[in-house]
Amino acid sequence: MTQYALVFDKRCCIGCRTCVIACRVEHNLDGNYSFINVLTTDGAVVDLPRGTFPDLTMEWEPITCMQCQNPSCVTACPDEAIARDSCGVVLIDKAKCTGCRLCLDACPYEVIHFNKRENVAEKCDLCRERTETGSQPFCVRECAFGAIHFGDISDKESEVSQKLRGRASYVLKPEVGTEPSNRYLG
Amino acid sequence: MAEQVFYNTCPAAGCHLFCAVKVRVRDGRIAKVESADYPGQSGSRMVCLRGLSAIRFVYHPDRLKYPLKRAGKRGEGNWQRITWDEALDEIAGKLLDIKIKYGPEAVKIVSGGSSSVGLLNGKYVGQRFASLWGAGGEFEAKGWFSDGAVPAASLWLLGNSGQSHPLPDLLNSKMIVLWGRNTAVTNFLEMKTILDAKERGAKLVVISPLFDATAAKADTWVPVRAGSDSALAMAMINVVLERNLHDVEYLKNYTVGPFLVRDDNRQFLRQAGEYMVWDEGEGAAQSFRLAARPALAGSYNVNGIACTPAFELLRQRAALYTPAKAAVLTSVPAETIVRLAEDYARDRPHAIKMGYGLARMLNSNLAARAIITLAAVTGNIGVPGGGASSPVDYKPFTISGKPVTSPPRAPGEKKIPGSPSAPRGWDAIRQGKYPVKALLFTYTNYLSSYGQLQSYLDIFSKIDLITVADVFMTRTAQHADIVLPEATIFERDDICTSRDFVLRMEKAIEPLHESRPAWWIWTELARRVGLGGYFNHTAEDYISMLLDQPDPALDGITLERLNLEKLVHGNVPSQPPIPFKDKAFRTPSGKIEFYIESLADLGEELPLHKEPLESPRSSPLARLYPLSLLTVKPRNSTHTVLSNVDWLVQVEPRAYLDINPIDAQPRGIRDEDIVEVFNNRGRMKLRARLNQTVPPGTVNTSHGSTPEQFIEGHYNDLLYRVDDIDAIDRALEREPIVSDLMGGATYNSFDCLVEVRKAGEPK
Repeated sequence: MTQYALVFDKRCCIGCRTCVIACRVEHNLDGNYSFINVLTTDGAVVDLPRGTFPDLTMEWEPITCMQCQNPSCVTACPDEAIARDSCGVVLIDKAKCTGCRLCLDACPYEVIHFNKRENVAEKCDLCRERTETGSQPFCVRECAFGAIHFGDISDKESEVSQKLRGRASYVLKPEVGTEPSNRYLG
Repeated sequence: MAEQVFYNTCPAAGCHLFCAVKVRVRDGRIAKVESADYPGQSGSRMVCLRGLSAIRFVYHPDRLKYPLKRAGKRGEGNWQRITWDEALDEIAGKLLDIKIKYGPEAVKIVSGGSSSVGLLNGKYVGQRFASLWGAGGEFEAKGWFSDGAVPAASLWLLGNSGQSHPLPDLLNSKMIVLWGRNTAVTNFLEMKTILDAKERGAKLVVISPLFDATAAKADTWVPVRAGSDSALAMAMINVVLERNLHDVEYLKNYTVGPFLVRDDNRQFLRQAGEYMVWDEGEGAAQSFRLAARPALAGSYNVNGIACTPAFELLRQRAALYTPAKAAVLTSVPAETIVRLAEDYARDRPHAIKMGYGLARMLNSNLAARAIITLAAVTGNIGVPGGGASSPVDYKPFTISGKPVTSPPRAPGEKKIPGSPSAPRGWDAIRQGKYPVKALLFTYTNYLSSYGQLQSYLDIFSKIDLITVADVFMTRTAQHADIVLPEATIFERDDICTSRDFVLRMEKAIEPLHESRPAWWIWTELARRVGLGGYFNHTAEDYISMLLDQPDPALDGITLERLNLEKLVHGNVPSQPPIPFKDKAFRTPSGKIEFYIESLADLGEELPLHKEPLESPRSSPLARLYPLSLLTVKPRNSTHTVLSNVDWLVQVEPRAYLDINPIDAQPRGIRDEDIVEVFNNRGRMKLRARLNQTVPPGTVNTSHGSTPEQFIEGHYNDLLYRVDDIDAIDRALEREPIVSDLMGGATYNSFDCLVEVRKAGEPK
């Protein structure tokens, strides 16, 4: 089965947040949020390194909906508003969402956002309107460093599968058992 | 209504990349800005978080909406709304009065600053007005107000101030050394190329006092103390020479290394106009052209004149900078210096790219000279993958403004006599030695980005009329008499160069509110002062004037073609040249002049380490103000442009003071505390962010923040006066630097000692 996902290449990420702004542009997000964020991993807090001067390290890790194959948000939703589509993309049906926020609590990655104004849960849908017409998600298009790749990880010939081949990759929080699809190249 | 697509660039393209973007307009409103492809160069498009945020800039609620006239004292913040006719009539009337009383040169026009985007509106049409009016107050120093030290060093040593290897050449480098350059924040195109080079196996070395995003991606980060780069480079030269890792043939053939220097006057020995060297074969002095075996070492007596080869003098100079001594000066461990020097000298080619950060302190031209000398002694100049490149990007071509700025019979702009540097020019204006009575600014925000506030207020007190055209009520606008709302780049027609293309910047929407494009403002003003006959042109007419000039790079590029294709490739070689590949240097000797005889009277004929003006090591002031204040560029603005855009401030909050816990603890400062930063010039209040990106002894706050982002004051209040004669680097006030477009200057924003005290608890 098709499984759309994002593959993040950490070697190429400089923590610039162009993806964060791209998401806000594409989805017209007025509030102070975005469906993708950049975490400073191996660092103390946002954009600050770990260690003591001058022995310091800093890395970044973009984080967004993992398009889990066993998504806990789907199970948690009492209104059957969340489901995986034929491409393995976890989608929230805003018409069915009652704003109970149980999915926010259930998501181990804390990547679901609650839109107070519309009283609905929102998250990354891999820019469905774009991908349906053959375009790439906007953050993928605008990442200046090629740190984000989009494709079908179940297809061995896809660009993302080739990207993953021959390099060590990992998923975030595999222990929670949600089978996340997004992968990280170290 | 269907979506319309227009081409343009980024409003913050003062980074000088001018990335091409597509602007999507729906229902008369800009819906989206995205990167645009360059024809025939797939995958090369790029825009960063700044350009993508453009819609929040255009539709910012704080935009200037209509002309304003001061209704109280200057800087009080009381304004009265007036019409464009009222504003322009009043400005024109005052200009004509000033012209009668003081002459036209009493009007100084600053048409665009370093963040201006668009050749016409950003610069050239204002310059046309200035030139036709016969405006004055220009400085003899042609270069920028700051940033001139590295270009000056490049001009002295290599004969070209803007020398820079084209970006793709970094892929030929085995090691890339970024010196005082936070590329991951300031130049995404270069950073992308560097990461590509890394993937191919190149090592990245970052020499920077702060642990920044670029340092985080480095294989080796060298945490040099701010202002000590010259000591580091001299120690590296020392290690190279001690270990015999220098390139003897290169030194003999392409540098002044063998040239004999007279011990008595420190000038090159000349006979019959020829530079002389010691020929070891002949055992006698010879013209450098004839000597088969020129000596690099020793000392010689030529007809009773004691002489020494320049390279021998360099060796003796470098010997003073042992790694142990340099470790004390630079805070870089001696073994790191040794390893870095050995790595750099071996297994070449290696590229050095210098940044402006290297050069924002007094005496920093010496650091740049030492670095270029290091590259020269190791044979890294004029070779693919090598170089010690100046901070400017390689530009395949530029479009001269002459057809627009210099119409026939225009009187031209007058210079202030005795102003070989900007501070002397400002000083002359403040003292009334050169009377400037009107100051007209467009899209220039000096008061937030260059020079201490009080110095401007002192200068402004001598000036009868100050007008500012801008998109926002900047700090400069706050001190004006009349403020004019300028249209953004998306609301007017213009062009710029973008990489090796000419880019049509298309008007996508009508100017918002009552804002107007700069060319319209100048045109309307011209009509009111009797110059209207020279301004019967549309923006497109001016574009045609620029494109029609006889410049081979512009052959075949017409307005019609540009309107159709939007991005047209300049007529330039597809293989960009490697600077000095032919080893032809446009210096007086034709060689790399690491020894500069014209600076002998200053004792600066060879590079050496001199502390900045305000040094925590050597200034008496350091007892009162022990910390160095840096104001480095953040990723979310270019100078002050975009620094007030909400999305970008949310990415990186302003304004914070970065302070190391070692400095914070004895001052009782905790994270998020309000702190007061002060020195003998001024003070600012802002929040503290305890962190390790800054070394003990150094504090930092982001360049470009607006006054509103501080609790009180602004970082500019602590910096040098803009007319501070003591802060001038005397070496840069000389030819050929003064007449060079990039050299010169003198404003050193990182040269600033401060003290910090706690001023309040977090909210």
